[in-house]
Amino acid sequence: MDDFEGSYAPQSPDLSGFQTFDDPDPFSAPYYPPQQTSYQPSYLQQPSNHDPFSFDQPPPQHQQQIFPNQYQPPIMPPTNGKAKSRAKSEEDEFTPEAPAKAKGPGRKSKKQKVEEEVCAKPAPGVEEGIEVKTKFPVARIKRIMQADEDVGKVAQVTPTAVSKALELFMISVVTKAANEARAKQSKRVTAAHLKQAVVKDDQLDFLADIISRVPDAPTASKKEKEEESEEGGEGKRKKKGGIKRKKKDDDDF
Amino acid sequence: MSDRDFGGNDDLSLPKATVQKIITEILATNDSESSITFARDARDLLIDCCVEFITLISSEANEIAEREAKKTIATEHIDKALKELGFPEYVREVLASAGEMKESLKTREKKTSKMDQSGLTQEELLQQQQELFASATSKFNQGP
Repeated sequence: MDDFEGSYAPQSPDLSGFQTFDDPDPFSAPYYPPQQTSYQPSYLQQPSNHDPFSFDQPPPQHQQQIFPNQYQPPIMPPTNGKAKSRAKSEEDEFTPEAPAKAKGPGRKSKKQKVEEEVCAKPAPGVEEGIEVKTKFPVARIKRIMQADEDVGKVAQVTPTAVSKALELFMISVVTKAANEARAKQSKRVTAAHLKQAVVKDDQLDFLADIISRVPDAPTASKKEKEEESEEGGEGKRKKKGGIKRKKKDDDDF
Repeated sequence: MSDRDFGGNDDLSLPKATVQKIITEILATNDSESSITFARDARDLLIDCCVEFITLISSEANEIAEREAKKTIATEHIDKALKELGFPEYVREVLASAGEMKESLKTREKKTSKMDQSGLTQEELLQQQQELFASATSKFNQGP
């Protein structure tokens, strides 16, 4: 027995094999029986000499350890990885025993997994070497988050995470809008360019409402017109102000 | 500019100067040979989009947190929200920066506990305190 504990217990603290027992997921149905059958042959192959009584309640990690090596590929080809990771993440959050200990490494492993999943796509700005040093005011972001009545408490680190996401989002949008402007031979990114960039990108679908307020771009000799219109607009405003002041003056006198 | 409507409340938008600065930083690294500028209307629109983005992420994260019976929105909810909303490529950097922030918060907390860092025993600290009291008393008595 000493041998048994020594050889198995520390090797994998992963309880995901055990988790799948009461997993209501359809995967668990075909998953369970082979575990029994798989156990014996693998057990015989193992040089371990622990008594067969422990077979009925072996530490779950034991099954887990053997099972994936020998029976996983034929029975559950592609989905198994996902099922496992799901079980693992459940374990991270719901294991009542030793939650403090499990959390540290559990989170790390999650992060690693995320990296594996996400590595294929680089974050916006990474390829171009864009580095944004200016940071958003975190308090403001928190306030915007909590402007939604449904949103309750927000952890201290969360606005920072959102701020980073926002930064990446801005890099992505600004770069796309700039490309749009460049494609139109314009040196100035306008709202219309931004709109076109958003319309073209499925990822930015959620901006449709906001973007619909912007009129479509005029086609001919854009750059000059826009500059003119902007300057013109400012001039008008100034004039209006001037007129109002004059009128007031008139009233006073 | 100020006549523009930012969803009714100006407080719930982002500071324009900061946004402009970030835009300039992005465009500077993005495009070195010809300087592209960002029109004011485009920037204001971008701010609206940013606010919408924050709202979207936080409401999704809130839903996820509620589903997990959590009352506080944590980083993991943000990262799940990002994945569900089609921004999986953001997750890694977001987690990295959140991790950095956590670390810096930890060290800050440590710094606040000066008692532990002083390297003195309880008696020594008490003695120092008594000395300070004594010197303060003598100073006070010397006064007018």
